[in-house]
Amino acid sequence: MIKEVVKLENVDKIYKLGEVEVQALNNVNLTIREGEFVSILGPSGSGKTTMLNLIGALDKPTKGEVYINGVSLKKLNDKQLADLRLRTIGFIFQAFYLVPWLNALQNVMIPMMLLGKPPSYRKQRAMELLKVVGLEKRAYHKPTELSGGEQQRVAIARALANEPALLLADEPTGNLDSKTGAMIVDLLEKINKEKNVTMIIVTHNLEVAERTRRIIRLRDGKIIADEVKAI
Amino acid sequence: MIFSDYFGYAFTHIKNKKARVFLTVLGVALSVMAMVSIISITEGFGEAIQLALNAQFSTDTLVVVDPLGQTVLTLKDVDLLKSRLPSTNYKRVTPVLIFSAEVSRVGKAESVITLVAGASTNEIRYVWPILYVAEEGVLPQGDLNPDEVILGNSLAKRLNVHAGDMIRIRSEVKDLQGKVITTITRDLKVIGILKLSGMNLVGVDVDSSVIMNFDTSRMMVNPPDLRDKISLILVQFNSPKFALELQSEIQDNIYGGKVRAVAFAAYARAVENVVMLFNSLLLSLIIISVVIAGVGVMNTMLTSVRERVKEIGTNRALGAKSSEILTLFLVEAFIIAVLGMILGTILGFISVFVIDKSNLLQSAINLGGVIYIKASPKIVLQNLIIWNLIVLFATLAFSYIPARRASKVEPIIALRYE
Repeated sequence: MIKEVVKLENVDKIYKLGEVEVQALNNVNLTIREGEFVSILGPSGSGKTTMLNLIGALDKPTKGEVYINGVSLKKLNDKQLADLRLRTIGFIFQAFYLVPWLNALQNVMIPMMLLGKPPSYRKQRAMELLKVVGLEKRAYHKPTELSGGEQQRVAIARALANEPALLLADEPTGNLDSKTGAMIVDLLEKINKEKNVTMIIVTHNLEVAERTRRIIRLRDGKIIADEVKAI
Repeated sequence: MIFSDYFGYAFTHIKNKKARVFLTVLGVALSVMAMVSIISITEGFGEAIQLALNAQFSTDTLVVVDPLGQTVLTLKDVDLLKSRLPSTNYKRVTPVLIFSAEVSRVGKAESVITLVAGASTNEIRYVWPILYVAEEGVLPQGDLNPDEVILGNSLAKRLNVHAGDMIRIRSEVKDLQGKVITTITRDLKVIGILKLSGMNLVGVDVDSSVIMNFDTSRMMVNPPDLRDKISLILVQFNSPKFALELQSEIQDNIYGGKVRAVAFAAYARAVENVVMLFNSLLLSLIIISVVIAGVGVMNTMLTSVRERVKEIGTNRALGAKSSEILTLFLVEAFIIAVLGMILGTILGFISVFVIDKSNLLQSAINLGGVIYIKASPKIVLQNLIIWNLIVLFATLAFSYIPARRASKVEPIIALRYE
């Protein structure tokens, strides 16, 4: 049987904005298996980023359980959650979030530095990853010297640094033009295929979602559809 | 994270924020510079004062005087003190007779009125050994002969007298009411001239005085019916402790409050108190400058944390533990503090050099006599290290608040922050 990488059980997430309670997720149940290429599609405010944050161990559900590789996140403390993010999960953000005063190579090395890998290994692997995303010639450029598409490719290389089992992308093409966006999705698809990395993309863009093999539609914090394309 | 990576990451950040880091480092450096200068001045000044005190006060000695004329001190009082004080406590009890006289070089018209001290040189040279040094001639190992004198340096120069010359001393013999009975003139041989000392002891400016045989002085100033009259008694003890302890014993018990017994150690203590006050004043200046440096670093770091919220949030999302973020910021503060300490110590050395060359520390304290102090700032490595460590500790302590704030950044909130 294929391993369950992500499992959400009866998950509720309620935010308190002053006196008002906002239910971002409402009784969500979801299982994502190893190697899946999934998109979470929904309009803004539908709860898709909230869902991604819960899966990425950045946030805790108000109710219900989140399992990553069969481990309940409820049982992990802050340090263990950080360790889980470091070893198991790769993040790609809409706004790239590269460290502005580090060059591309140094940015890619950060996760390996956090893991305590030796400097020589870090540099070699970061260079390889930049090659994978086609940016080996831009390794010593700072983010401000790179285009949006290039920055997102550096962020993808960074996300892959510690060979995560799960890659989470939050609107990865949101800040890019459609052509560049398509290139990024190509790249993510290629990584999913070649490295068998489980990939979850959050998007409001149907074109992007249609590139994935499974589309989970969210509205008002509820899964309204879960379609798997026939291959 | 490997330990060296904290430094590598912090250094890379510092390199990218050169202007701001330089200003912060400068803030720490100025505080360290002030600290280096202040402790060097304090150290140098303290040492100079200690030297001056040791030279000018024989702290194991006390002087018995009758400032109000309530009683007439005589040689009997010397015997009284010898009999009443425990003999194991004191080294010597010696009388001094001080009077004013007209002094001139024999054969010259020019004369000056100055103070003459009749004393046993065999005793006072042990009370003030530093004073008893000849610039010219030879000072006696025992007592002066009845027709010999020693001259203070300034007086000898003023009268153009050298060792071997004869001087003439004219004194008035007065009764107890101060009425002049007769005048006496004697020619005496100058056997030695003292080195310039700048000292004023028991009211006598040593440089412009004459020291003569004690018995000769009695003949020159005391009336026949009061030949044993003396001006003061010096009592040298085995330690300054006895001098201080027996001060009131002599003054109140032996003399019933009619004389004053003053231990030189008390003067020394007064000066030391002033020095201590001065030191604590400077100490508070150091503390203030350390606090200013610390607040400066804290302020810069708080701004830095605010600016770097996204970076911190990203790193947290990528798997950095909050303890690693805390350490990262503390390491950066550590680097800034160490750079500030190095720069500040160099600036401090320069300022100490300038202070030394400019003679800013030349000063005089008037305390009964005049003590001239020429102090040089003194750099004591040990103090420098201790205070630098205090600066380092303070900087890290002040940085703890911003560093902790950084470590508490929640990735989900930081990344929502636009």
